[in-house]
Amino acid sequence: MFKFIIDNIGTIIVSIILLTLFVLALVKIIKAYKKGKCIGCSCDCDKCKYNKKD
Amino acid sequence: MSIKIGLVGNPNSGKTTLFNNLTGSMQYVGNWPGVTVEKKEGRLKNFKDAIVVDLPGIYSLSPYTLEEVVSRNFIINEKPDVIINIVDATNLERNLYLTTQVIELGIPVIIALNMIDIVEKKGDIFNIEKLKEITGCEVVEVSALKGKGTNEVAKKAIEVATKNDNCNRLFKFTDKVESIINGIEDLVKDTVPNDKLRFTAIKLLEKDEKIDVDLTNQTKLIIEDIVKKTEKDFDDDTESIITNERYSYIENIVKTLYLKKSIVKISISDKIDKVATNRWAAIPIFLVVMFLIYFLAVSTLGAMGTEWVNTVLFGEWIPDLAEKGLTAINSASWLNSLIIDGIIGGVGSVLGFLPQMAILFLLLALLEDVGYLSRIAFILDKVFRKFGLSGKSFIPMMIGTGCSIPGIMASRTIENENDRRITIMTTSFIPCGAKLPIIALVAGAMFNDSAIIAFSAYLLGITAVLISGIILKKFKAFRGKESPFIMELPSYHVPNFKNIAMHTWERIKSFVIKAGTIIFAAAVIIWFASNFSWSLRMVQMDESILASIGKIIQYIFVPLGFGDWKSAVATILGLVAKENVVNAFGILYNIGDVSQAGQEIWNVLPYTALSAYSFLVFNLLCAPCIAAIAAIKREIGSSKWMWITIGFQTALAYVLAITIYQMGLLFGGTFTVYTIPAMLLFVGLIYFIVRPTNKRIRLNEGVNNV
Repeated sequence: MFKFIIDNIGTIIVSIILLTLFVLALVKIIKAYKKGKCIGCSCDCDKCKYNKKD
Repeated sequence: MSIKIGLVGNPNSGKTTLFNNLTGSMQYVGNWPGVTVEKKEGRLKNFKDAIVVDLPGIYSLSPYTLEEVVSRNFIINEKPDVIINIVDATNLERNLYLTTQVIELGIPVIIALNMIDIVEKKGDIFNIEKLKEITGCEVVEVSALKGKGTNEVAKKAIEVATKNDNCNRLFKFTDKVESIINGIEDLVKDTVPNDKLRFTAIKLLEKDEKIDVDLTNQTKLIIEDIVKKTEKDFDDDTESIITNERYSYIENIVKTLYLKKSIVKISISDKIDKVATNRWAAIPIFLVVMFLIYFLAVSTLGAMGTEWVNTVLFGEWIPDLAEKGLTAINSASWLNSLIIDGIIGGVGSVLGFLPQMAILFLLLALLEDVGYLSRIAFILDKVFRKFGLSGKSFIPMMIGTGCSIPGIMASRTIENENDRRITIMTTSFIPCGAKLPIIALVAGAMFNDSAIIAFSAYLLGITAVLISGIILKKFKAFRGKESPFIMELPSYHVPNFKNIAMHTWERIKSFVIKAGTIIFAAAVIIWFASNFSWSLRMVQMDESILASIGKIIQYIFVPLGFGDWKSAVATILGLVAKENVVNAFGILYNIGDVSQAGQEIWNVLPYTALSAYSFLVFNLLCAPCIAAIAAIKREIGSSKWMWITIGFQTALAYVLAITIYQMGLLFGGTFTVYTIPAMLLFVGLIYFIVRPTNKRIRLNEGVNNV
């Protein structure tokens, strides 16, 4: 087990990073969807978080 | 102490520009009326306890459209501590019409006299002291565009709000009308707060149905009698009586405020308009301008940028770097595939189109800033009207060139409910930024970066809007006279590069954010589903989960010429975000592994020129992405209409794509099993376009008009 981890440490670290990024992206998408917004959309709505810049 | 400042003014008077100056925000400033459709808040620079609220533009406090209701409700119900009334000094009469009403609200008001520099430039003289004297309000000269006077307005706003210093010179109607208003005031004084009394009495006299006041039935009847008697005495309806009196008053005071020194001569703006909006030349000029935009954005400058990004950045640098890094850490082969084929291949293929997109956005922002885009709405009004729509529908479509969602929301400026519904249903036909990669991909890969093909996508969008206008207007749910289109054309001016850069950057940023989230997540899912089987074993792509799904759906698209499972899957994934069409191609055709030059990487696509164009037509016109569908549901107000919209758009896309593909084949001498169904669908489409309107509907309309 320990040897497997040592041999594949690079793969494990990169996989964890990618998985974290993937989960973060999904959370962002779901949050935006709940607000009825498109990700990154600079639509003209006061409820949209992208318009709150102050 | 927290202070709330409301920015109130006519549409296109510079409210959002002043809002950005006051708060340091970067809200989208459009050079046409109706850009702001919801209120926006920001904190005043150097005074964090003060909140500035930018409101949609209004001409009066009697709202007609949805976004005007937003403004009035805010002013009346949320009662800001101070109102900054932005008055366009070059359009004094119409702007002061609102001012006379705002002063009646009993809220402290500051007049920010915008565009005074233009008045001075013309050599005209504006008597600011006189305006102070007449209104009793503080008046500050500003140039929102140049940022002049911003600090002074902010300082005065805080001062006036702290002192609760109301303007003390209310506009007086003629004695007869004043006595009627006083009479109504006496009737409602027990139910309405003192500061709102005059405003409420005037609105009740105007028969304003949206005014929120709790009256007894008896009081209501008395007021109705007063209104009827007034209308009889004046031989006019009360709303017109009030409007006429206000305008007569304003006309008189403007004579004392504004001295026209300049000889009335045709301005440069008018000279340009003589050509740009000429009844014969306007449309050809518009077509040439739009062609040039696509020529520069997709074919020449943009294509060069895209070629560099595809060949060098995502073709060599990033994959090489990733490969070296992955080899160095001895990563597993599946991880190499996920990163190089999946993420770099997918996200990279979409980002590859960023230069083309940036140039398109930049040129559109430039056209808008100089004032030409608002002319297009004016020019197209005549064309749209022939097809049952109005130029007012074009503004949401123009806004939708960046993203359909704000475009769909901008339909709120249309007061006629049926016109608004048609506009919502058709706005996403105009290619948004997310569809540009599909256009650039097809134009680049199959048509040698043809500007004509890219431009035809834009024309196709307008054609689809016009066809929809004709078809839908024949149904009872959409019948009715088109909205009148009255639009103030802003003068042409030298472009403000900060504004253009800001506008372009906002759109690019939104695209990059999408690439980092939704496109990245989709790339991971597509890679997984195209490399694993249902039993979660790594397999060849043809045996993958995605292939098994795609092979079921593909039959729907066989008549359209792209009946392979990869194209079918790409089309369906476009419903999540339109960029995913290219994202899916990038992964499914292993673009990350192909190291050819520029657009040639796309030569792996299994298309003929005809089937590629059919693919483009279908993907441009079918149902938009999920976020836009949600916006449609929100704005159209029901799930039923949302489904009707999706069904209508997809059906129209299917009929046009099958017609183009099958007729194209037929002209080339190939007759297929789908030729006759395609002809029948085309005939059906023509029938819906040319069929006469139901007689019963016309009769009903006639009765209603009488």
